[in-house]
Amino acid sequence: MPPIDGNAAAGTLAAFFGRDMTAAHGLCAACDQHAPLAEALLYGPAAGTALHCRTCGNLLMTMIEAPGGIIGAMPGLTRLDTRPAGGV
Amino acid sequence: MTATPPQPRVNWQAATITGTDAENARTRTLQLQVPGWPGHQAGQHVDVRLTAENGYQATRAYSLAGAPGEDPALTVVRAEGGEVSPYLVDVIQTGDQVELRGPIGGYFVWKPGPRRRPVLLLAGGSGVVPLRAMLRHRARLGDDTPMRLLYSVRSPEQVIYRRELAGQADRVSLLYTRTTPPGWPRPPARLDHTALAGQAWPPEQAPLAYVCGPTTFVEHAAGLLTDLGYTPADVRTERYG
Ligand SMILES: Cc1cc2nc3c(=O)[nH]c(=O)nc-3n(C[C@H](O)[C@H](O)[C@H](O)COP(=O)(O)OP(=O)(O)OC[C@H]3O[C@@H](n4cnc5c(N)ncnc54)[C@H](O)[C@@H]3O)c2cc1C
Ligand SMILES: [Zn+2]
Repeated sequence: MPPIDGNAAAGTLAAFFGRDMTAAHGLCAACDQHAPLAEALLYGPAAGTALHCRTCGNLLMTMIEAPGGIIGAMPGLTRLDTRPAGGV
Repeated sequence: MTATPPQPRVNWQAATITGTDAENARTRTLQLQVPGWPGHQAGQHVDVRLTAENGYQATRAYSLAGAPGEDPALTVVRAEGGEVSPYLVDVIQTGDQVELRGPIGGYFVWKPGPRRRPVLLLAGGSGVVPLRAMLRHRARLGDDTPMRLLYSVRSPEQVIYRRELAGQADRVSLLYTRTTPPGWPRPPARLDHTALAGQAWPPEQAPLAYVCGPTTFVEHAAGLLTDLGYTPADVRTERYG
């Protein structure tokens, strides 16, 4: 299957952060791309969720829904910004 | 000044099928009853989770087909051999339940803005579902935002919401990619620069675009919009796979 996008992770993101995060902007640690998480690359469906930078492919964030909660990591984000349009 | 958006519903809950409507041979709309449904925005979706007897679970996203204020409904197209969609299209019946999480999504959503920026909706196949919710939202509000849908579909048999869209011929155009109805003026063709330029609001009008469908369609259509001079940040995309 071709990659989809961060919209498909909206449910997991909302369960993790308690709010919509698809409109939040993330800053890629590798290439400084600043884009909504909705536009990140997502390969799925799979047991876990991995969001990659659409510009450079860098792994931004992973989430695994486990019994009782969600385990997440954000190895490739230097910033996450939930202001409208990421504060731009 | 910005109102806080409603908090998404992040817990799984049971939804009951209250009715089903066949849209075409491989597509069905499911009407749902969800206790305490908070209402949704046009373009949002839900996650649906099925659990097999052996405990195996499969989760898929489905757009909310109705306008805000309408009961939740999903329109599902069967993907042959798929884990979830054949069950939702062929098997599940009124009175059955599924697990659901949502409404969710705050990016691929439309509501009338103060500037009434013209809206271009580009659908490929089942990607028409959330865009139909936007058209219905506008119509129910009696809103005057200029809005136009360009719907790319393989053949007449695969059109979803046929009658509803036919009733809005002034703002809806179909583009057949494999076979056309008899006597159709345009031979079957993929969406291209000329077809799009003939339908799209000019960039000078500061249009917003919503593009939804298979990944290949979305990438292609979004690229054409950029070539036409659309600002990438004003082209919102949702890839179905
Ligand atoms: C945000 C979002 C909203 C969505 N909304 C809708 C919606 O409103 N209506 C709807 O019908 N779908 C929608 N989808 C797609 C849906 O989530 C599933 O991907 C789809 O129903 C297939 O799931 P499945 O379990 O049946 O197939 P899977 O088990 O995931 O896939 C089975 C096989 O089918 C193939 N396949 C999967 N999808 C397609 C496709 N689109 N075209 C051709 N082959 C395919 C795969 O390559 C695979 O070989 C949406 C997706 C996203 C991310
Ligand atoms: Zn990057």
